Amino acid sequence: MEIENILDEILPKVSKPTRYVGNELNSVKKDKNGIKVHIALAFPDVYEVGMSHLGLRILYHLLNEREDVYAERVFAPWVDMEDILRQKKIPLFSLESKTPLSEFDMIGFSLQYEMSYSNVVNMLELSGVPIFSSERKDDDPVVIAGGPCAYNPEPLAEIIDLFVIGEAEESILELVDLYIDWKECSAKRSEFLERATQIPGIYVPSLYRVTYNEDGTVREILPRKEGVPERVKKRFIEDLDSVYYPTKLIVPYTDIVHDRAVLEIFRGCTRGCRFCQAGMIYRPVREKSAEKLADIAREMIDATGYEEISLASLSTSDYSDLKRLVEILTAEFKDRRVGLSLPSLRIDSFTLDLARRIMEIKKSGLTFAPEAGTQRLRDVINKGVTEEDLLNSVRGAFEAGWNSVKLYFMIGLPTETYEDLEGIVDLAHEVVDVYREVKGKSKGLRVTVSTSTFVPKPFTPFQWEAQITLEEINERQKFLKKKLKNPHIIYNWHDGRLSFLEAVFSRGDRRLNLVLKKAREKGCRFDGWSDMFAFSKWMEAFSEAGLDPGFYANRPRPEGEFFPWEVIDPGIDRHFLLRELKKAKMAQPTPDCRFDRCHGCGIIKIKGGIRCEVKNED
Amino acid sequence: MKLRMRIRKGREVKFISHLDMMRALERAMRRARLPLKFTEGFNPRPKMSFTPAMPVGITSDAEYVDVEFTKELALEEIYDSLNSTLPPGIALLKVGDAEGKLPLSSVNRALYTVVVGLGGASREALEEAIGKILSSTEIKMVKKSKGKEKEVNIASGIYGIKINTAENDRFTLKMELAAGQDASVTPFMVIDALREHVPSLNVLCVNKDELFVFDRGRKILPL
Repeated sequence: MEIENILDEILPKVSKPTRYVGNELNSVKKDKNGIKVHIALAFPDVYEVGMSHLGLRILYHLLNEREDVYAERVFAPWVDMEDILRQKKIPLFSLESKTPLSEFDMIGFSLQYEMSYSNVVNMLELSGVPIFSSERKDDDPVVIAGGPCAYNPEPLAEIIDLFVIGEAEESILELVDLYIDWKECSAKRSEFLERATQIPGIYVPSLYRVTYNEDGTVREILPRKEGVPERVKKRFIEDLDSVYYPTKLIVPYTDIVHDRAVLEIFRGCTRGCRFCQAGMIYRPVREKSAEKLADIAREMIDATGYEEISLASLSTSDYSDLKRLVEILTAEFKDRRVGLSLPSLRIDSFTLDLARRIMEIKKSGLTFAPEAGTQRLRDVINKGVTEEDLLNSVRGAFEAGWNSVKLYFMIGLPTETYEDLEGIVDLAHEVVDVYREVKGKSKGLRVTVSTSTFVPKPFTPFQWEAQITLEEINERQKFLKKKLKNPHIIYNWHDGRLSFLEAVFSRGDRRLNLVLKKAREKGCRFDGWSDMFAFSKWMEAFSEAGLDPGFYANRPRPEGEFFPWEVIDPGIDRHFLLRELKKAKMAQPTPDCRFDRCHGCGIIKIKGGIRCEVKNED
Repeated sequence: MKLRMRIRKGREVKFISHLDMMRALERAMRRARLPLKFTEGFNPRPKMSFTPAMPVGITSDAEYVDVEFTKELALEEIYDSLNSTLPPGIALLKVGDAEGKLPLSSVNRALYTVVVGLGGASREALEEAIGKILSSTEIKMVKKSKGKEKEVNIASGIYGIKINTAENDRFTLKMELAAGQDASVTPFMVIDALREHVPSLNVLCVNKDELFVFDRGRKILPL
């Protein structure tokens, strides 16, 4: 109650006060005295971003299904709120019961993006919880983390007590059970952490020792104790039709980034784009049935009143029953004025029929991601899309009435030359030409070209590759800025310095924990927000820690180098990744194994998932 | 059918914006499967119209909305089903036929309950400040809207301020203020004006009790 009363006084002074209030429809209120485990699900970004994240919503409702668990949410306070919290010495508190974070049993961070790491540190600091795992006492909360960035846990290994690797629906409940068991007979957190290593998919970094080579590369990461697994295998859900999926979703009051009912149609992707980490680590492909999805959608709209359903997956058009699913959903919801949006459509399989069907209800923007400007480079990255595919789909979209399209590309992909950048320019202009052919004029057309800089990611064929230097990023962006001057083309680019830091942390090692601490001391937070990003402070932090960021971002790795993230086993073979890298260098595509033969990625050894096991291996 | 609803905005939702409130209502109606009528055209919107926005941080018993349905329904049925789907803090207080009533755009006054702390100042000082404000013909305030600052005279929009109850340092005031499309004075502006005379004054809570049309000496409630 205390914090609640202070809030009345401070909330009128901050921007977007709704971020800190809670009380949304379907949010969960429980009596703190009636529970055994109190968990704060912490998202290291603002409310609007965190609430748009499906994983957080799944875990929130999943945990709260249990009577003995109370899961609450907490988001990074925006800088105006942070100032007031610090000034008035108010500890960071949870959204539901306004409980200080330090009083929780566990704080679980969702790691979606490397540039949110400074917010993780800041949120711990604001909670009064020691930043480093080694400094925490028995009565401090256990700090856990999961999400895609946890596949390389090392840059946070001294800060996070325990990582949950892979899909957490099962392992988080096992962890909660263990916590209850442990709490009944022990108070020593070291015992809890040690026992946690027995749960598959749990990585406790303090129980592993890292040794380095003279050149600064990691020699090995080995367990300090017997019984602690050498490599931590990711967890995944075998059957998506029977796994828990929340339908009574929280309905935020304030406009969040993705404010709609999210229907997860499948996990995993076998397209095999060589830059894409999600396409590797989330294998195997597992689908939910169209019937099950229709049931979920119905319950979800009844419970939320949302005006839009969005299909979520890595590549919507790869869902094997997409046409029927769209038919079922449009028939069901047309009268209730619930729109349908299909993000992540691949341009090669986008059909006009589908587009028209969706249009019947509501118009949503169209985004295409050719990723690279020439066929050669698209073959290098194994993005199986041709220029003809793209132009045909764009033509279809224009004919169906759309007049604005977005095109996503990456710059700095391995082997990229200025010819490939010219290809981006040409493609954008060809889209303008297609519009002119269809409409006879170019009035009203808007083509948005966005480029991000390629960041090599762990567990991808490009994990051995260097990122291009910052100077080179700037040069290539300058080139595109100059060439994309057309009244119908808008060019957006990502800050190269941010991509550089992202590259450092995505393939970083344990020494980066110190950099994070120093950067935080200098005031870094919300780095993903351009107006908050302080690049020079980061550079100071590196130099004080005696580390060269270029070592992580711009260094090509030899084939045999041991990588810090290889303490994790995502089920994908290193040999496969290396084979893919070599094929990339020869611009040789690898077809999707769902429609071709098995390419031996290694996931076949794991039970569950679909298709590839019936085919012959490479 | 065209309906008029009187809605409560409670403590739980006092910081949500006008737009958030509209969206919350629309979603509650969809959950209740009420037959909302939509606008035609490219981006169909439900046919709903609201009384003017008020600043965040105020609770209210007098938010009104007109809404059109495609089917006739019994008022009790609408009342029950919507109240069962509205989120915590929002309630439907009354629902009736909107036909033949004054348009919501014609409301021009509101009555507020404002609880203040005197911060050590005396009752006399407060009374004197109220007297000064009621007798002034010019009270200049800087109004911020869309990042621009504008000076406005709020004196003509203050129709009454009186002390209702007092308990130690805590005073409950009733304010009758302009609240229309053309002119609008918020309780926070009046508090700012009172602070010119009693600097220690602080606001504890504000509630909008009534919203009405004041026409030739008569108060007409929207519903």
